[in-house]
Amino acid sequence: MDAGHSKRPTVKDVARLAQVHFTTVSLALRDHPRIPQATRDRIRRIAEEIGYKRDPLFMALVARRGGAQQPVPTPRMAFITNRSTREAFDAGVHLRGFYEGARLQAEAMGYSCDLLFAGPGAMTAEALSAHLKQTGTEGVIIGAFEPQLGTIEMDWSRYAVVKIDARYMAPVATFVSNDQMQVARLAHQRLRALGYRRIGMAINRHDEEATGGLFSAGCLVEQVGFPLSERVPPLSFGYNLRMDSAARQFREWVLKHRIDAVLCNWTSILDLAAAAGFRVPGDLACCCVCLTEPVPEGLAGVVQNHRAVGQKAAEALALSLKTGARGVPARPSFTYVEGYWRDGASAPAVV
Amino acid sequence: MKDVAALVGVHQTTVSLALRDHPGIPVATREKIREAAARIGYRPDPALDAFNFYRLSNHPIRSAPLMAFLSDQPSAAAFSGSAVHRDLYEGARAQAEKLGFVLERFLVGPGQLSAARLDHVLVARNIGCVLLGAFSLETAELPLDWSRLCALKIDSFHVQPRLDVVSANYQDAARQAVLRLRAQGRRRIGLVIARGDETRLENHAYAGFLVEHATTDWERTIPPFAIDDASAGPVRDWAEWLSRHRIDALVVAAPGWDGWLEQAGIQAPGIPVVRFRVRAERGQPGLVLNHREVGVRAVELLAMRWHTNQRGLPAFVSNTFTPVDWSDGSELGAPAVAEAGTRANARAGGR
Repeated sequence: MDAGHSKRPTVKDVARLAQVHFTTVSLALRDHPRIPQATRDRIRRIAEEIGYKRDPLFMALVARRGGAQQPVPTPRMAFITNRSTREAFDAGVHLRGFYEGARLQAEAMGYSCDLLFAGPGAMTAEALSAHLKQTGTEGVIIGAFEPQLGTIEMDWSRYAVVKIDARYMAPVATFVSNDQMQVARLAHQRLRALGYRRIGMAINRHDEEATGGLFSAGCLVEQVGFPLSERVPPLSFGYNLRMDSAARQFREWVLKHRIDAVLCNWTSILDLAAAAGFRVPGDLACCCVCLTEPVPEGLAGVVQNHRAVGQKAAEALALSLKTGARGVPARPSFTYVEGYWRDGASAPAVV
Repeated sequence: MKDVAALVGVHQTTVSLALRDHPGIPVATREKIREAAARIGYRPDPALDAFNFYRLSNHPIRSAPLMAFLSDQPSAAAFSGSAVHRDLYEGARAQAEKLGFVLERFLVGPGQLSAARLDHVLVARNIGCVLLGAFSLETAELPLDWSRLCALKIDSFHVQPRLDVVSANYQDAARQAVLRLRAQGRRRIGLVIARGDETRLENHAYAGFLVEHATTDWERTIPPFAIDDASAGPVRDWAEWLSRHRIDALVVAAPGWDGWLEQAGIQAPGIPVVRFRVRAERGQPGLVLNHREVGVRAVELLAMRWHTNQRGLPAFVSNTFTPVDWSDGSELGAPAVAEAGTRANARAGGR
């Protein structure tokens, strides 16, 4: 049973090393004038050395059990975005979903979850650190930082950190995301079951890189399961592509490979197909693998569950807070939340 | 909580259960209680929750809650004889103890406990947490009364019902392996998989292998070589597969594969090999899947669910993957004994 005693240093460990009673340690760390200054310093040094610190959660508990009259502050989590304003944040449906899910789960567990803006022109790393310190926030969710907006240089070691998306941006942390491989696989499987035999995936290179190639992984592993004559290579759109050149590329690809159904991560797939001169679903079936509720009328595809991602992130963070884990884990684990299929007029069953 | 109970006219334990969404409380009552709680501003106290978590983890109590580790291995001897199962179980057991649970192993399937019998046992012994430990293809479904259970699967994607899964990151392992071999200039890399494993893991190793090749030159794509029982020695098609595809390097995800190259008449150091390993051991370079850590993570997540009372089948499935590391086989201070041609691997580095 000794395995359970290895983790957090306690006040008693400090007391043993300092050769004082543990109540003395407690008083010294609270700077009680009755303890000689030299002793206070010595005890504080030892506490620091072995990494003992008072846990704000327990302090809150003790304060309340002691019948303290002042209200106990709610423990906090922070959801940090690198967009700069609430308006800009709300414009991202996925961001709103992540935050809502995280906030609801945090509140269900009794935490608050503040939304903090660390984008260009908003909070700097210093301001952010100061805010977290001032509010006693020990857990942060790095909420889907967007690479093009740049990141902030923070010392994350003092916090429990969970990251949503942006797997390849610093810091390395426990990571939660939509399961892009599964949504690509699911779309292939469902289109196949609906009777389509030449299924192509069109993906934005930028999104592909942000997810570490997970859309392609899903696409390739499904395509190799099809007969050789029914496999279609994915189309990868370049960076900063304008609609007219995207439409041209799309048209050439569809015609060259005689594609009967397309899956794409753009919600504007129907506009793209129209711009490329295809009638949907007459000429070509289309589905979007990045739908969010409420799903646009008539568009088939895979609905991604941004709220569930936020919820899992808050849960993972609570787990770190509870177990006392702080800082950047050397070897983080990844959690992916699966999406679900939604039928729609843009991809009817083949008769 | 008592205030909420008085207001609604129920017992305080009902309030507690309702706020944790316990299925035993009628939905209408849960909603009524949740409304009342919101109205008077009651919410659960994470300080108390964290304290309980901490207390349990430091002082294992006599009536510690039980967690069941389920396996469909045909016998206790088979279970102990498998390094994968042993490591999973050992990791899970140690972490369960740390978090104040007692883990008990149950063997299910033909000749062992039936699902119905297991359900009785779980109810009779008041076991509310179950972990499905790397089930074989023999088991397609496990019909238990899931509504009262907090449950997770290790691997076992193929087993119904759908539950959240924890697994080693086979996809990443395959990607790392391909990168290592490509860094040595190898271009005709073959993948050797255990047929059972790939099915249990939804072809994750193959998906990683394919995406790292990033080719849709289907004619030249090398199909994986799937083996049913590596320890039985090479099968007839083996040498033919090697020569037909002009394989110049191998990623071997199948355990017990030793000696296959020699028996096919391939002289070391002709074909460099990167192998998947269950654990890091001296003289056994390869990508270490760390099954022990899979067990640890699974129990952490399960404990979290138990504490937040998330019972029943999940509305949205999420899958968690633990990290895979390269080991040069020098564990325990032994000199690196690289397999044929893998000397450069140790320096090639991961992503």
